[in-house]
Amino acid sequence: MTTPHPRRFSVSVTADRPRSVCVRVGGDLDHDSAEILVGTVTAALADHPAAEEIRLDLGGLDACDAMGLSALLMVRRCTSSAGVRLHLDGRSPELERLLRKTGTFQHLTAPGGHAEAPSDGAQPNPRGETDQG
Amino acid sequence: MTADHASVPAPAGAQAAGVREGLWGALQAGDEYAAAAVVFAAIDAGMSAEDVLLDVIAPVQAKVGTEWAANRMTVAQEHTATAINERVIAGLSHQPGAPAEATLGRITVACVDGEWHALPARLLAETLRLRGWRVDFLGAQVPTLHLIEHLHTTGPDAVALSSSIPTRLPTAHATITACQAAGVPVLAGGAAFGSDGRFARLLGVDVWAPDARAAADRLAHEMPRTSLAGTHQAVDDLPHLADQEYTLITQSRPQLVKQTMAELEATYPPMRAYTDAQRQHTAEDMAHIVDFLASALYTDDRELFTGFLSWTGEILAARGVPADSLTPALGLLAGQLSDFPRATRFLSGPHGHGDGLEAVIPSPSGGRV
Amino acid sequence: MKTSKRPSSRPRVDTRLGALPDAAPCPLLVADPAGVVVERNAAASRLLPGAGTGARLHELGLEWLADAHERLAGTGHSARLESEAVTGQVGDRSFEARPTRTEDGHIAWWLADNTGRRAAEEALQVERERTAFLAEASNALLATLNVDRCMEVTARLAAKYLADAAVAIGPPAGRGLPLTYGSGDHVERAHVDADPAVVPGLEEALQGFPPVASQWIDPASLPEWAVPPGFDGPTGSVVITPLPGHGIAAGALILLRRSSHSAFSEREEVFAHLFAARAGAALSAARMYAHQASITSTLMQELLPPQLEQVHGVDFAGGYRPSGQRERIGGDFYDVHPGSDPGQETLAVLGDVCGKGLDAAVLTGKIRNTLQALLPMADDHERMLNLLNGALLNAEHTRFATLVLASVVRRERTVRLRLTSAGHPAPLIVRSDGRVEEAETQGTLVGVLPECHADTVAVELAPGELCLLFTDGIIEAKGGPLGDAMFGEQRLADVLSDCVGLPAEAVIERIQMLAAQWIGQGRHDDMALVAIAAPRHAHLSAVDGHTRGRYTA
Repeated sequence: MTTPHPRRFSVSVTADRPRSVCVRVGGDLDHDSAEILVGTVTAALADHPAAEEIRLDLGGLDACDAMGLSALLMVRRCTSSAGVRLHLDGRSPELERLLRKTGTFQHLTAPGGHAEAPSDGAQPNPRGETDQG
Repeated sequence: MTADHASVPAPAGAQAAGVREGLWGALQAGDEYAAAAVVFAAIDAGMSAEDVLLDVIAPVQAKVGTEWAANRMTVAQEHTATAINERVIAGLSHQPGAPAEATLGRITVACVDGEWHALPARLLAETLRLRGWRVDFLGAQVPTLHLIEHLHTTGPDAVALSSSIPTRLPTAHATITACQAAGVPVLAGGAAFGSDGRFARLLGVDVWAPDARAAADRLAHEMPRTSLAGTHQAVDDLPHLADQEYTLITQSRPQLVKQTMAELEATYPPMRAYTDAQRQHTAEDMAHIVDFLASALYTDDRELFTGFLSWTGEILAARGVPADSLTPALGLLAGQLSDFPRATRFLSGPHGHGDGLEAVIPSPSGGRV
Repeated sequence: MKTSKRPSSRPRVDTRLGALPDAAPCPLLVADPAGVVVERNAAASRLLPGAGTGARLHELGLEWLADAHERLAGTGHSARLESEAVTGQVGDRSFEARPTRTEDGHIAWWLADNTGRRAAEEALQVERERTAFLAEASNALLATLNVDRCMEVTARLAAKYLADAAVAIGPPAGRGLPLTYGSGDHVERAHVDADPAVVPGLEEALQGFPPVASQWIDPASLPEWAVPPGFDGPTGSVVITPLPGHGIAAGALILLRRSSHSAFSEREEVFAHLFAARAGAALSAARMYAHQASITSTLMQELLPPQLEQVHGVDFAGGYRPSGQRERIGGDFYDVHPGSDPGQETLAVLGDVCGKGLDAAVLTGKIRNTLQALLPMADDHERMLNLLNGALLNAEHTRFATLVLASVVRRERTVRLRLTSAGHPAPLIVRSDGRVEEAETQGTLVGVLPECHADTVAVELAPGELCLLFTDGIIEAKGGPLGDAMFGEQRLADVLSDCVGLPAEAVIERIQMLAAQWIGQGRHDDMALVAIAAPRHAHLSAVDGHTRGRYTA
């Protein structure tokens, strides 16, 4: 057995613009790093209660597997229930393919900002309507 | 542990020949239905199930292999023939005449991890079942850990391990040692262990058998006893492993293949005209060469390596593929491995008498070594 | 001491001067080359009253000394004798005799009493053998986690080292008593319908708690089953010792000796106890392993992929390889639910839960059970997926599954499929001319989003054509000759293209083999495959593993 190569993963939070928090993700988003991302975003939401949007900068992402996708879905669920818009910036063609193949592209790329729940999933959040991009 | 049980021809040798012919015809036509009809007709005519397994199906399956090697059968035909044989064996196992109760003891039959040719092991499993053993057949590609768990759970009298590919020998060794450490004696068989069983002896198996009938006889007459020996390390059997050549070459296989491909590209002109598929094949051939070299280093048996090269030469020749690129590739590989004395010896070695590499590989038209 | 040299280092005797060391505590005996005693000191007189001057060594009953003397007397005068010490009995004590040649050609023997040292050496030797035996026993016992094997090792070792025969007895199972006989080198298992209470102390020993001491019993009270079949008695002495389990009743050991043999000494009994403790520990570990293994296997049965076969004239074959070396199960799964009759659709499902190992496997179990309950809805795949989605939604996590549904029915020689992908790689169709098509179906994964959307596509397979459902573990498998390339969709399609006309199981086997070779020793994800094929021949499979007997044309 070859020993698994240690995967690198990095995540950093910057809030240089008012009401907007940027979370920069680099490396592999997988089984080992999924929780780190979700934890970071949850903490960012708590640290910046006035934030209206979270921009997930995925430009440095090398790979994203099913657990990574699960983490993105969890991030989306957290931002929705906090009433915060989510943007996935810097998506690679591979990531777009994964999102389209799994039918999650629409869900994850519509900035939303409405609460996501099985019962009221289609209810637009008032703040979502002010979103320009 | 020599082949003193040479396959005895079936009592009805001529009959078996006829049945073989019938089965071979059905396999060539890919007709499972006809194959079953031929075999069951033989049973009805009084042939024993064991003779059908070992004097009809086993030799016909061996012929499938040689016909593929000679390029007279496609990969698809080979797979189809094997699948049909598997189904026929499954049908045979439900025949009346099989002992209702297993009285002799319990045997586990498995293929070494990475071994996909399950049919020889299957034939042994059915033969043992017919002779009154309780058999657990675990099939192809059994991870060692699963096998050991199975041994602890069922506590068989022996485990029969099958392997046909010599590159699986290091894995087979780990498996053999693990089974013995679990207190279960090991019977080994299959082409990987050498036609004379020398690799089986080298790796410390308790019993080696050249074929299923001999294996069944051995188990019946001289069931090996569990050794009470303590822990045992691979390097105890194979002191030459201390030079680390096997380990280092196995670990750096991808780099060796990459480097050789790059150097071939630079020094071997015909390569520049290769299609992507040809490049892919060359890379796969190189990877095989490194695998066999590694196995030869593991067993410290140069013939294992030269034997592979001559077999590859025949396979390529049968397909009208010039084996030219192999010779310069071996030279380039030797260049990369100049710090490894045993590998260097295996790659260069004495030439001539059909043993050396020059005799094996047609000399390159480009005249480059 | 009169001599200037200590007798123990280099005794020298000057008989000419009559300086015989009378006061030396060690007996000294001097004899001429013919073996006749010429002198002795006071200590020698006390030890050997009969060995006066003129006595012959051979007549003193000290053959060991007389023989050594004869041998040394025959050697040349220059030969050094100091290293020729011999040992033997004088009465009930052991002596070491060291020879020295005197100047007039006699040999002087210094006798040193080494009875104490000999006894200590013998005791040490016995201890060493016992330690070596216990080490060997531990190795042999710990090698196996199988209860029967462990019992065999216990009986064999006990019969070989502790007694003439032994019987290892397991805790009663149902009505019977599991016995393992060891006699000589032979070991035999038996199951007797017997009451342990008839052997004094056995029932208590088998209960495991409270601990009981080993017990001597009257050989005549032993029932026939408690004596190994081949044991050629008569039995002289019998000890029953418990095999202490730790929280588990491990069993008991009966040790038997022939009457010709000495009975068990106290030390031997202590030693038997030490062995029993090791055997008991190994046996209880084996019992615990067996217990755990049986629980695991029961739970695993539900989660293992099923064996596929021909259903209503359609060939199905499946293949599964979990990612871990340790697990037999993982996050990929498949099932085939046969239609109630050949005119009804059979539903095949193949899917992939995100995650690996047992956690993922547990979720696959939930999905498989839910889908089975939803079978009546299978005529509308999208609806079925939405119901499944609703059952899986969980506020705590966003663990999802992707899957493919295939409803399959055979009409004449054609196989009709309805295929729906829920966020899963689309199935591949292999046409009889070798073309490989991707089924045009797409949909959302299940288990996270409030609603699912999925397109269902209808596909027909002519005889010899095949549809492959697979998980992305196959196409994302990394390896190849260069070690880092993906197996990829194209390679999978190429392999399939070469597989035209192959039986479904041969196609699965070929893909699995090539993927395994591609991966080599590297890591990989779970990999699952299901092939659905329209048989090439009009008739049903001639033989399969489930048909008893066979068909005839």
